[in-house]
Amino acid sequence: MTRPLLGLCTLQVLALVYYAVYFGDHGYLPAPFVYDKSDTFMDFFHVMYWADHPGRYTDWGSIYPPINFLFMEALRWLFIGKVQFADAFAIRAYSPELQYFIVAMYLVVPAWTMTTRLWDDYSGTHKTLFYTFFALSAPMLFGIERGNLIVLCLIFVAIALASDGWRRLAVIALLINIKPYFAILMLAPIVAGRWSDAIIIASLAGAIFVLSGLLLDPNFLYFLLNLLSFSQSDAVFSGREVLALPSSVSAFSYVLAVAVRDGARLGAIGLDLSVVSLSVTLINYAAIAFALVSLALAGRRLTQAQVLAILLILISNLGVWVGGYSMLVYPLLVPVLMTFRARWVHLALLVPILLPLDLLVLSSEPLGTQNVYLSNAIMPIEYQLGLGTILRPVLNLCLLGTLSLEALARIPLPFLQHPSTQKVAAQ
Amino acid sequence: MSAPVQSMIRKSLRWNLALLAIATVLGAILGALAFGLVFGGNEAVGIIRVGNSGGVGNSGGVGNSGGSVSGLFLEGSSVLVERVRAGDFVSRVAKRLGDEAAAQSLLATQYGGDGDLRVRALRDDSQIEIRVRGETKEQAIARAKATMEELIDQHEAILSPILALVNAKRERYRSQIAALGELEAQLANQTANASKLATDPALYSLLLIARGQTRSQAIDTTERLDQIELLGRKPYLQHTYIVVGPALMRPILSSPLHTGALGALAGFALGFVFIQMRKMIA
Repeated sequence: MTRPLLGLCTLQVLALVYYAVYFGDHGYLPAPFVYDKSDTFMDFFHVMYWADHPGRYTDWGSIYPPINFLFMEALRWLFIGKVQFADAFAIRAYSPELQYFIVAMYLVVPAWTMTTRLWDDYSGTHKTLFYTFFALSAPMLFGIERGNLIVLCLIFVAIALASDGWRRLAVIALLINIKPYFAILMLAPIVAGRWSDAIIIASLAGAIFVLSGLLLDPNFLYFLLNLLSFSQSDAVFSGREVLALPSSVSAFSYVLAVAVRDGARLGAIGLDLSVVSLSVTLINYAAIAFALVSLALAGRRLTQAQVLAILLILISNLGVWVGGYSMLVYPLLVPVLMTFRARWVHLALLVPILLPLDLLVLSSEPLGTQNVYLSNAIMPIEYQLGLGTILRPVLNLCLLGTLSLEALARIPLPFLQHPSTQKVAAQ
Repeated sequence: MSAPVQSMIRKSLRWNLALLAIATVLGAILGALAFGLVFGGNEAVGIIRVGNSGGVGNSGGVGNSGGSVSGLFLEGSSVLVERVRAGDFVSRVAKRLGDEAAAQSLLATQYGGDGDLRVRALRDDSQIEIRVRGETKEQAIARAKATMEELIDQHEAILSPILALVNAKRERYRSQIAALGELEAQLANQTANASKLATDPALYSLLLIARGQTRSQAIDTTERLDQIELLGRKPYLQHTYIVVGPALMRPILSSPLHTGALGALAGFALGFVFIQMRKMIA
């Protein structure tokens, strides 16, 4: 295993060198980093700004549960004290220490996850190589550049996958309070017939939500309305934003729908664009439905870690609103996927998702000049559409499909069994 | 079922019910306390539209410098936001309120104040949101009103000389146009006379030239007047004005009863989770 791992790490290091050289030449980062070059780290600083502002749920319409703002309040108190800022950009300009903190979080948290029981079967050398591969993976670098808080979820996802009993239930409740889409993980105990565990998670998540809300904001209940309107809205993101690091094929249908709305009428293989968009959406929903049915039927025959792994992949396939950040947890799934029978098929689909596929640029388009935060200069920007934009969502959907198939194959139905197994059963 | 087992079940049930009750009551108390400690105070909010200076004072007198109207604000939003939270401005607001202590309360935390006044620019930078906390509803409203009025007065002080300049130029152009009209009429008479007499062709030519020049001057001045009439109106020259408020914020959870009820619910849920998890750990 050492040699393939070394090869993968070399690829990641070479990609890092490429990003550095490109940045040196052009003054901004290439694909898959988001085209808005003035927005570096702003996922972090927007939340921090609104942590100290009473309009977080009413004016900003935040979909971050209260615990995120409490965490940010604590960080704010630690790093910048009581200073009030005019906007989030002013906080970024004021505190380089917080920017170092973001980078440190993205380096330390994945390293910590390597110390959990998940990786007990791997040697120190392998762990180091895995860490290098993950820390330099495309989703991870994308997450650092945005400064997204999802990196904190790695801690709790690792605990959920590595432990069982009350610890697992408690961390899933916490995860729901960081990113609400992790509520899907409540299906893990349900498919295993452990309804009481699901009720415990829901109760604990609800209690954490209410208590953290009571500590934060008298308008925290607006969060629920904001969440509802966000998941229903189809005009939250721009097409380029959605195509930066998509995890779900719904990104394609989203962009096609936007194009149709903007008046594009070009046909693809004789089909209308809106039909193509609808077909992609239907394929995505069908794959999700298939995965859910497989889990419902085979849930008791899989370990809880395996079910959680499938559900985490299902989450990242849900839609554009989940975002490419959801793939940040994928490195943690490697030890779990190794427990499946078709492990090499699953890994062959997962590993490319983490590779720098966007080095192969499929098309580019000048966007005019932008104020680039990282180089502190106004530069002409070129939007790039990389291979990763096309491949990652497709690979991700296939990964969900192969895992669902393997789950289904565990059900003792005669037509699903291997002939040799049927013979043994007949004897 | 034997009697000892029944007794054990009853005891366990009693213990669990007691735990749930305690957790619910504790949650209710904490929820009600949170209302006073965390949500305490009243907040008033208002929105102000920053006026425009219309580019008056650029070379060539009153005129459009070629920039967009939104780039001609009386004060840039980032400067305004910082200035409003600083010592001089909040002292003036406190003086306006007749409450010197308000200066300390409104001053931003980085300047040693309590930070009860919060200001931020809304999306297009032309509107400024002002939020002010107060111990009572009346105080919050009064403070927000005083802050907005102080800002409007300060912007009026900037805009007044500009308006005076515009008005003065308008009057000057009007009188110039009137004088040029009279002159043109006189020249028209003289030209007509010179044409009838036909004694001095050179004088006739000079009068024609002078009349033409006067007419072109009158046209030019009329164009300038039109321009200043236009630039003296919205959106080029615009006062700072109140868009909304100040109005009192009314949160969803507006009484200790609301927060107490939610706290009780959270307490009950935590009690339930504790009972279930105790079984798992055991």
